[in-house]
Amino acid sequence: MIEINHLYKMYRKGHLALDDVNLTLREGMVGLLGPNGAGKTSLMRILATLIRPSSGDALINGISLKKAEDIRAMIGYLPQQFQVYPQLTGAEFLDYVAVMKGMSDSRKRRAEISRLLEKVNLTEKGNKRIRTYSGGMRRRLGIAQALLGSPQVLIVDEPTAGLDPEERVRFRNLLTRFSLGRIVLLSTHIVADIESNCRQVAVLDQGGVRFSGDLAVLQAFGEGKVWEGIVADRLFAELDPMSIVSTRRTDEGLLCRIIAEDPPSGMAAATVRPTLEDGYLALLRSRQEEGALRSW
Amino acid sequence: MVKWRRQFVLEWNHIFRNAWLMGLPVLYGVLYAWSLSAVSPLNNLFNEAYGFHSLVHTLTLGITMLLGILAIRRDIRRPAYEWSNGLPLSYGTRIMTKYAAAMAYFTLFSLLAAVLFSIFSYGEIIEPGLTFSYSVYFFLSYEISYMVTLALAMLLAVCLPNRVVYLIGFCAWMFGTFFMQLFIMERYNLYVLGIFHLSQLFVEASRGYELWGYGVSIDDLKWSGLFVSVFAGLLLTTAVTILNLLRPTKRRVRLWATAGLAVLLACTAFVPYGLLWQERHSSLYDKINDDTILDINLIERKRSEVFEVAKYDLVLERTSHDGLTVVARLDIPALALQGKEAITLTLNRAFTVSDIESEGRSLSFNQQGDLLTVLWTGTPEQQADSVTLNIHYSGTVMEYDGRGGFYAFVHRGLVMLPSEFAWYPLPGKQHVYVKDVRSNRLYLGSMIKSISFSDAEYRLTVKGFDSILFTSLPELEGQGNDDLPYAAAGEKLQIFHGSGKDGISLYGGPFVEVNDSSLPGRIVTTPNSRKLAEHILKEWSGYYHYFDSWVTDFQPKIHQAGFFETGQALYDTVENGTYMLVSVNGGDRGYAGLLMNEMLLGTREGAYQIENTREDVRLLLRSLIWYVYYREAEGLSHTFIENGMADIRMLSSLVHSDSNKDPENLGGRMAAQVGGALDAGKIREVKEILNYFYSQGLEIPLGDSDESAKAGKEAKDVKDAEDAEDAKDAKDTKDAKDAKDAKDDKDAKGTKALPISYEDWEEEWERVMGHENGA
Repeated sequence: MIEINHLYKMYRKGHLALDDVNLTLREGMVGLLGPNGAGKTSLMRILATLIRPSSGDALINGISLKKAEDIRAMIGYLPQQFQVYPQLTGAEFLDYVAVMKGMSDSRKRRAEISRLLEKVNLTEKGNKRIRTYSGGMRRRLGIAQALLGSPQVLIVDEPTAGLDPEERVRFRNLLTRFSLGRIVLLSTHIVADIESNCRQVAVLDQGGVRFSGDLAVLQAFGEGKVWEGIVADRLFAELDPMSIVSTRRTDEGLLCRIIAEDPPSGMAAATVRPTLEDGYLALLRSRQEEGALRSW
Repeated sequence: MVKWRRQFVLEWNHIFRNAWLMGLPVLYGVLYAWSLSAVSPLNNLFNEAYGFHSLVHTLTLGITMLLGILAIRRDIRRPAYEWSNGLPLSYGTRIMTKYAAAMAYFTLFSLLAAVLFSIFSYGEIIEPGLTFSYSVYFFLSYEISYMVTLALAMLLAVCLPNRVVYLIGFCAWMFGTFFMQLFIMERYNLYVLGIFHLSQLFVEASRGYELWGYGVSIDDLKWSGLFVSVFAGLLLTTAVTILNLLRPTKRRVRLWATAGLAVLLACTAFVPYGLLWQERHSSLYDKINDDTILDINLIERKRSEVFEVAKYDLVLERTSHDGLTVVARLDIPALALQGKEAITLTLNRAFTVSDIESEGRSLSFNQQGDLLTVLWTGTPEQQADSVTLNIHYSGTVMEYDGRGGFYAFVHRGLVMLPSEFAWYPLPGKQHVYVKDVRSNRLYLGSMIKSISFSDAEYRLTVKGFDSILFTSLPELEGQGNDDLPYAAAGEKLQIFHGSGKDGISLYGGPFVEVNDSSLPGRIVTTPNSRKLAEHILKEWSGYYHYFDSWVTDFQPKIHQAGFFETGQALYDTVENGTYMLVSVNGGDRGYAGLLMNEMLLGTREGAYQIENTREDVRLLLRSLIWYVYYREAEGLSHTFIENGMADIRMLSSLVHSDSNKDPENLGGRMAAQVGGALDAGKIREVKEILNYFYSQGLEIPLGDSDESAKAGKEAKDVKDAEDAEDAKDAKDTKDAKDAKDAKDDKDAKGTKALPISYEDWEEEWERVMGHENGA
């Protein structure tokens, strides 16, 4: 379990990246959602003991962040950007990481590396130099290194970026399987990554936690706020672009899906059942409106 | 340890699997081997190798700087490699493995520097022990330079994650090497800052010589090496500390404690080096601030009046830590001290006099600066023929010259005690030092005004030295020490005995001696200059046999030469028949001719005092002797010589006459005279004439201008009266030996070094050749 208590992170130029974050993350796969700049990566880096919080603390399986070395021994981490020494082979690289994670038995190490290469679909490329890998392959190798040593906590920052749809599904499944009995903290701004696999989700926005709980509750945020209707082309331009979730052209005109408290004017719209993404966007929109009201 | 090893393997592979990087040591090795193979056997291999290292090693430090930065920037402080920061691996391990792998790589250069030198040195047949010590010196110098440069580069890269670090690294490399030496150390004489020089092998440094080079600077190297090693550790610790401040750690206390300890160790390691230089500077500035040492502009150039010391018996012992204890016994003719209540001697302030006694009675004395005043009124010796003073003194000598070298030293068997340093009591009040207040510099007084020595008999006994010692006096071979009260049984002694008028200098080092049984002379030099010495000795021997075959009164003016190529403050000089060549700087540059010239003709130091060639043609006569050599032995034509194609140093008076001093071009005229006679087959007559003048003495010694003018006039009067008789004798007997006797007579009357006028030349020419062959 990860308990985050009153976590603040302020960078040098006064930018407040995390603002009193309090979260309790339980076993299983946990999604961390938020728009760009919400503070997801800062939170991940703090939990991965790469940077120090300005104040507050977090306990990972009961161990404080202050004992960074102990935390590092129990986590796997894949950052948003991932590069590896190009002259090594994939297997050599994983062997290096395995040793660093305390796997001293070379036979066990080889077996584990072989298993992971298979899991990330890199068996055939395992003995090729990393400089020959595609971006997706490198990403998979990154996941493999994070999974090495079966860490109790896996922190992955936008792991599916750059992967094709097939790889993405494979990836999600891999993480889901791995999350049994462990905590997998998955940061993303792609709701679909979370929708199918996560038991718990936290939404960060402007450094603060906007939501934490089950997916269904987040989804419920959109209840009564998601409208769908057909709008003529000339009226489409008059709609608030921030409220439009999606559009699809039909014979009658543009079928728009809009998030709003009230039915959009100038069109025949009806409420529809929200998706998780609708709930997430409704949550963010309500936050923005609160902000707008406050500034008013 | 497993992690450390694996991380090291990773870092090792980064370097050793890189073909470009692996090509560099190969390139270096090829370049170095080619450079050493191109060294002429006549050049000093050590000095040449040092010259190569001082430049190329400094250039390789650029690679060190680049590789150090790359090693850090490869995966530290780079967002794309942040995954590595999430591994349970300390920054200490990461930095140290990077450092160790890079050092392993640069050790290839160090090993090449040492091994290739050893191989080529083996080819030179140098003593293995010496070769080993030179090789180790190069190896350690390389390693220390790489250690500190690499650590600095890594720290820079840790501090500056931006690419600007490459530019900063380049500037640090340039500033820490060439710029620091040329624009800080040398321009402002801040040689103490050498410790911060990235390269241990300075360009154009005094330590770049086989003789008294790094051996004299061994303390500098030892203490600076210690500091630099610890300082490199401090740089690395700082890098680790900075990285750990950026990443959380539970070991903050340990981190700060380690950083504090590193600072403390670096400060402590600086202390011995700092004390070494503090001692040097305080000694130097004490003298500069001493009012008894005169400014360079205030000192009188006139040679000091000194009393006579008939005999010196010096017993010099080296004790522990290079201490010197000396017992100097001086026999002074009582006449020289008549009417004096005190006598003044000059003894370098580096020594402290503990006791002075005469005939068993202690004498009062006062030692102030470099002057030693002995009160001796009322002692019974006054009535004797001579007074014997026994002076006991001791001290250590490591005389820093303020410009990176030394004026004198006794250090681990390396000895440089020039006579003008007054390491034994010199008669009278003399200026051991002079200073230049404007530039805050100190010089040996002899650089401005010659030191006066007494023409005395010397006996110098030296003990406690493992190295070979060399003086201008002959060494007593096979001298036992059983009869010597100051020598323990079996104790190694070197005893030098003889008379000298130029004082006694004492030198020690890894000398070798080169002899030729047919030549009354030898050359003492360093092992790597042996081949040059052998080559020159052979040539010198050839000259000698030629001149010995016809110069009837040939009295060798020198009996040995020291080829002491060094960066220390020593200059070419002749001392009691020993030619000290310091400016032997690689290869044969006609040194045999110089030695022969000195051996045959003696000094010409006073040549600048000849204002009018018509009144004194001695310079021309000296050249004419060489002219005959080139015509007869070398077979050169007059035109060839006239065009300056022979050794110009010997013939310059003939072929490049000074129009101010020789407006009539007498040099050209005399050369043409002799040339014509030689063409006419009258070589015997020419030699007879030259022998005549040679017998009169062609040495032109340096003298005080006033005194020499006065002496010259007195001498001229005597000469005028006696010349006719001498000439008559010579003419009657046609025996140059008589002329020499006449000259000896004149010498006895104090008429040495008399000018020979052009009229004398014409007269003698006419006498021998007859009127039709006259000028």
